[in-house]
Amino acid sequence: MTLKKLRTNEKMKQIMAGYFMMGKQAEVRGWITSGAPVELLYAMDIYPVYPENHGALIGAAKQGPYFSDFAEKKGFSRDLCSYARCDIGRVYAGTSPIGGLPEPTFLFACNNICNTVVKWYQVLSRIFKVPLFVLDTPFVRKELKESYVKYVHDQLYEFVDFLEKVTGRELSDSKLRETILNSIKGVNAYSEVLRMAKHKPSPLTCFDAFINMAPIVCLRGTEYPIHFYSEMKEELEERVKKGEGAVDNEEIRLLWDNIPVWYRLRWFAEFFAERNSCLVADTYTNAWTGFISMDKSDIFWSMAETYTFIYLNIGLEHMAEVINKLIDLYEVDGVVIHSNRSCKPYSFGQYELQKMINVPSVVIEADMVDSRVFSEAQVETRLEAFLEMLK
Amino acid sequence: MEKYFNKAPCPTKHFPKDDRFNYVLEMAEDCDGVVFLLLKFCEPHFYDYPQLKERLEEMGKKVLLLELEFPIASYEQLRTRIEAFYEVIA
Repeated sequence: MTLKKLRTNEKMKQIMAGYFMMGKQAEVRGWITSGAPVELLYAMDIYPVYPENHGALIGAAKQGPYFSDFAEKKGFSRDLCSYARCDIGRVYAGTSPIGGLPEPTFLFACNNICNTVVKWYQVLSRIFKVPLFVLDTPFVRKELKESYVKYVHDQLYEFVDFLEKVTGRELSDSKLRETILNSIKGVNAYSEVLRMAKHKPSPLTCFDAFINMAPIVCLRGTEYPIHFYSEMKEELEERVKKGEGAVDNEEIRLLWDNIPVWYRLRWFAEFFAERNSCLVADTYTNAWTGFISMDKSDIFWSMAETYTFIYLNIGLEHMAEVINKLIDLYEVDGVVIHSNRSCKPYSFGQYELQKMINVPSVVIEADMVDSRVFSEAQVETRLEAFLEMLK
Repeated sequence: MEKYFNKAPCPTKHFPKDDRFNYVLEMAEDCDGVVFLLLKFCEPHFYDYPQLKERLEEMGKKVLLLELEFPIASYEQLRTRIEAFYEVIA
């Protein structure tokens, strides 16, 4: 079984190689969580380092257990997040598939994705003896209250003070506006790529989206994602024109929930392609597709709103709403739910969600990076039975 | 109110000055050993444990980790481990 590769995959590798090179030369580097407002860093010429992205990279290189072991030997429990274990482990190991990450000048954790990042970055701040800033976003159970936004809004100003103190630089308003504009353009370009999956057959699978998501996470706020994703879209349009699907004879359209199983990406892609099933979209990459507001008179307010109301920081009713919207938009027949041992906030409530969404779903148990907990036969049986039922 | 603020700093909170570590390390000064009684899947405690243990051992303290699940299935195993720890200290 040969999978159809996109030409843009190569381009993406070049861009990311460039991004990692930039890190080696950067004067000031902040380690940052994937859901944090990176725009403030780029606006101050601070290089953002993404341990989570690096964790995914280690997972895709199938070296999760190897690096995790270094952390486990120090006493970190196997029940902890595998991104965190790999990252802490590879700091102790002193190496990684890309030769490690550049050391931080400061750390920046935003708990809109999980509270794990707060503990993880505390561990890092004790190792590197550098300051840590925690941006605390209240959990949005029902509606996004003004008091929540105000609380985050105030902290954003505190964070700017923190950055100015650490770097000795000043934040320029025009530079920040430019960065945010780039960010919005990048996010839109990325959304358009993902929306291409509305076509039947879909020109891309969620695996293509996973493989090519690094630029929108790491380089959001620069011009790279804008160009890269418009190029990717062109390639997908070519496929659509030719009536060519990412999967031959697409019969079943599916939605993926949760972080990918990085070390089995190819295995999953082949498994579904062989069965004429296409995972057209996912809840994970969709988390990077929207600024919920853009009020030019107060960009900090818009940032506070956007970064508080993100997928992992909202109640189950909201989550079900997002999933049901995706189901309608992409006309999917079923949902494949990855119960991820590492990612508690993402996996918690999935059995409840199953009852709240409009199409059939199946839950598979795995981990994003730690391949020791993956049971191939079990996953295969469940998925096969599910696809059989959908046909 | 006073009681609330004098409670042990909880590891689920972020203290910029590492209050939790300082609190535990200070309390441990007069002891020979420290027992970590942690509940399985309690992430905040498990993230703190390795570095706290390291600091405590640097202070010459013995450390024991007991990971519990409810209901507790094997009391005798716990008893043996605690007795062994006691012997190490004594």
